[in-house]
Amino acid sequence: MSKALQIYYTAVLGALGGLAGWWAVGAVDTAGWPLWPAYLFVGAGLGLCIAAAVAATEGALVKRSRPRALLDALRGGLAGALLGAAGLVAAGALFLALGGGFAGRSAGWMLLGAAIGLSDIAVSGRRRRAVLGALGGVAGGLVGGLLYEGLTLAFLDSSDRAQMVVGGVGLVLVGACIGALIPLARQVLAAGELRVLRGQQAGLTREVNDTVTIGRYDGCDLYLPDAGVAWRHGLVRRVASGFQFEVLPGAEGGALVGGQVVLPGGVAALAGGERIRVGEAELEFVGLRR
Amino acid sequence: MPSISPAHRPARISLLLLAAVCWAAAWAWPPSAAAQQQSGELQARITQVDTSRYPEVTVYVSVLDAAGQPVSGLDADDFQLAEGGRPVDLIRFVGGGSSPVAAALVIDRSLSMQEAGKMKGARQAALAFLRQMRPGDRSALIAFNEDVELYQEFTGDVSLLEDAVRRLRPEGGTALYDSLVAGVDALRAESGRRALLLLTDGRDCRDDPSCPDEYGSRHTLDKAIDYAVAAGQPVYVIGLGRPGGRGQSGVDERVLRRIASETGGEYLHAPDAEDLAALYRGIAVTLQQEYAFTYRSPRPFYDGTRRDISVAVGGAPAARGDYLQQHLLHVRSNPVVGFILLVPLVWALLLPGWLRGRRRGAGDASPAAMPPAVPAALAADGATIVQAPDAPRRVFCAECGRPLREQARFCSGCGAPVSRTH
Repeated sequence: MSKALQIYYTAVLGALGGLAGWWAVGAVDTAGWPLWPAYLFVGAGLGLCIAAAVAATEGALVKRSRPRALLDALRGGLAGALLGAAGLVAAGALFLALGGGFAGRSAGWMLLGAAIGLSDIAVSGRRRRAVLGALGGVAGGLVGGLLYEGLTLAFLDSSDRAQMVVGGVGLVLVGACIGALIPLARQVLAAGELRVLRGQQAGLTREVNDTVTIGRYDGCDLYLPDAGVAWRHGLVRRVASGFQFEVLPGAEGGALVGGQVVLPGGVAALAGGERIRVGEAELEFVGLRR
Repeated sequence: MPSISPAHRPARISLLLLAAVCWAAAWAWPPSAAAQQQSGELQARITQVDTSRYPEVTVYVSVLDAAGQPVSGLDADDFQLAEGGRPVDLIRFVGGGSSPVAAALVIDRSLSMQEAGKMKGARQAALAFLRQMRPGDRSALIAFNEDVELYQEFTGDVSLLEDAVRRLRPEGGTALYDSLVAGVDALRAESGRRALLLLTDGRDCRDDPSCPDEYGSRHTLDKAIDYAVAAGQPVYVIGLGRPGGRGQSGVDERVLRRIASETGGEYLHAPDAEDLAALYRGIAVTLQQEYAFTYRSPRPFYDGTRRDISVAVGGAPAARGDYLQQHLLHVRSNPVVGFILLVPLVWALLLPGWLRGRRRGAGDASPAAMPPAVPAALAADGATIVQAPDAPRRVFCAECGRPLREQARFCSGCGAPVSRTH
């Protein structure tokens, strides 16, 4: 799966998450609630739905593993609910402090986007990846917030029903923007890339920021369901001198890195451009920056 | 020269009497509201917008005459009220003099207040304000030096408030900005017209180089103002004593004016402590004579947009104000709309797969279906058994990395022939 297609799918699932959030949260009438409890509830609901949808993208569409997609959605959704609740309360405070308008709305959505991007920590356990996701969420929140505010102003004098539709479309746009920009930020700001040249995942690109695990296990960052690939086979790690490929000591199989055999427990330095053969899959490491 | 005939005299006397009665009436009663409106002498000002019961909105309006005195006796028909340019229908109208007021008196009791009878003047001013309280009015007393202390919580009991005022003693520093935040907090739970009166004779120790830092506020000026603005709380700021320049002691008028203007309040200056009581009394009268209009917003949506309000009295220019509908987000859904929005998203989700299927149908082979490439160097050598130096004795196919059984002649994974090296 190409990088563009990954972004596309995450955007569509983010939009579906936004729609699900709008549908579920909007079924509860919070008009009479005090402002802050309402923000907590709405933030938790939106964070849960959008973060769960974004987190499930890889399991559902890259790894094509339903249990993995459900597990990631559960972890991402729970983290998204917690961070989304806190994020929307902070967003509401910022919105009021800035006096509303485009600035207030966008700043508020940026905070919510950051909270959803940060929820990746519960899925990947990678701090740097989550921080990059939060940056993407900030950018997605900004773009989505501007679109939402534009829609609101465009339909300012419309009927009650039109206002409701604007709310739904606005949240779909916010979800899509956050969903698209989280993986985009990870890709744009990545230190390196692993490209699958051959094998069942041919065409897939996985960004390398700190560590990328490789194996047949669908919890690995780069899931390779090819023959000859061990459950947890190896990893690419960022070290002080650059990057290195390690075959895990317990792996049932070695690897070829630039034509050199790397045995279980062995390490090979990566300078960029190396071909890595793991079982029947072949990868290329591209170093983007140090 | 024509003379007045005796027959016309009674009529002339009647006309003169009528004119005298009219003149006396005009002298005895002030000009009617309508007459004042036509002459454009009235000036309206929106002093507070209460949205705590949104979509019901309550607007408080003070009306002053040309002499700056509050005008009472107007009725709802004398006003034209609009939100976003649309006239609104009133739910309630409370005429001048009938609207209850909740006032937080925030008084500086720093050490400098002991000079020139300022503390005594502040006490007398507070007492003058409290003695104007009507049934239904409530007040609270907050005093500050480097600490902010609630001397008396909100109550309608004037004697309790007077006792609290008499306990005020000057000492310590000046945490002006913290006191503003405390005043906003104290008023937050009050309904109706909420007035915050902030009295100081100096500047916050936070901004005074001659004052130790710990005697100043924890909040910055910007944060304190933002806090009041976010709560929709206008502030009457009263500066007592001579103005001081930058780095000098005295009232920092630049800061006080900024607090008043940015919160939509008013700055008042009392050069001497004796002036304070009259000033506080005037504020009390102005507050009590305000008009309160309650209406349902013509756009009753929770959309976080700013709404402009205008209030016109007769021919005078309209007073303008606004409020921010406070919801960054309010979500309402409908299943039918949900399904309509769902359809294009599901279509977008399935589109790439459908396009891929079409390409495959057109004979485009998938790269995933191609057999794995074998590195040229290894293809020439065939498979090789390799051994990790410090690992238990295990062998792997160098072609595909798969573990090999001992004595195997071919790899079970890729079928490559096995050659043994040590």
